Amino acid sequence: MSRPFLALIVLGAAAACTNAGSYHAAQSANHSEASAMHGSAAAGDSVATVVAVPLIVSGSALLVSGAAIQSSTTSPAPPPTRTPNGPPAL
Amino acid sequence: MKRFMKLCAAVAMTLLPVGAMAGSSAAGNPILPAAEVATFADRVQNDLASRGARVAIVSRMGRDPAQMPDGILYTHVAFWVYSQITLADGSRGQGYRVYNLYQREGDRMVSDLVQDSPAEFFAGAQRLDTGIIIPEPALQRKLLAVINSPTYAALHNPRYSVLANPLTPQFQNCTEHTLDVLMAAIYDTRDSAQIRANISAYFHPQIVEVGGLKRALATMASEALTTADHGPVVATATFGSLSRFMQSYQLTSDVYRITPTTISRF
Repeated sequence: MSRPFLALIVLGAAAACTNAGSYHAAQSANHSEASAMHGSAAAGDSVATVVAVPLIVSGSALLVSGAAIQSSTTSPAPPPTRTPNGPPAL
Repeated sequence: MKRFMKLCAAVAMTLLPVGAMAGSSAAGNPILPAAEVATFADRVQNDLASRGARVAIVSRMGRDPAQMPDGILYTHVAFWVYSQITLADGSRGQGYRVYNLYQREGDRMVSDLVQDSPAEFFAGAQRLDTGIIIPEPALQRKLLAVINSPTYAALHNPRYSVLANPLTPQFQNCTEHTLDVLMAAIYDTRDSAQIRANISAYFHPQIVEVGGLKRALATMASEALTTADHGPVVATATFGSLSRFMQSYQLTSDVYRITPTTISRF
């Protein structure tokens, strides 16, 4: 198995996990790609190592995507389009 | 991979307080003995009637409070409206009808507006303990007008989230719908954007302590635990935040708590 092919396997597994585990799939994709590169570097030793890598990578990708959610979210409330009426009063 | 996802969901449900916030569901079968539930429901009805409440905001403890996030006791709120009830045998009497927003069975990301009885309302309780807000009489009249108008349904957003952000219109839960109806009554409007502007200016939602990883895990446990409508801080409408808001603007005539044996003020 060539290294690029192994990298594709790892990349696919990691991306599938982050897509399922996070609704910020676009943000997760970057992390998955980085994780996949790490996986492909470790994949040259043996087939057994390669098989284990996607699981490890996908786990770490999930953790990263969780952190990404916290750090990347923007203001939840767009500025109100209306002016408030004033404090509630009966 | 499926096992890994299931494991994450299990971890989320056991470790995360937000996982304990199951949301607002109609109870198929009572969790507690039906006779106890019915007796408690009648106790609450009689208490409300003795205080002359035509409209009240009543809450339900759908989860063990020890499992709930800090500052949150109740999992569901609804309007109770004093009404003329026609029984199955055709006889008529006075009692309360409950105006709920419930998660849909089989699709927890969707809600429906459902009327039921006080006993059905408490059928979903883990513990017979309720927090009650009786609005000022003038506000009760305004609330009644909104509940009996098309505005009540128009303010319903069926996209459900347990932790819906009341400052945005993306999702809604039972407490947020209650808040929207309340704002419609106070400001005499059905304009959702105007209601949102007033909520943003004057209402302070309950902050729920949950970090980024926990938020991701919670979503895996249930899509209805999404926090996609929140920024770094998760905050949602609760019975407590509703009562604080209403009390700070002198909109209540009573805020109290009923259990099977006690009636107390918060």
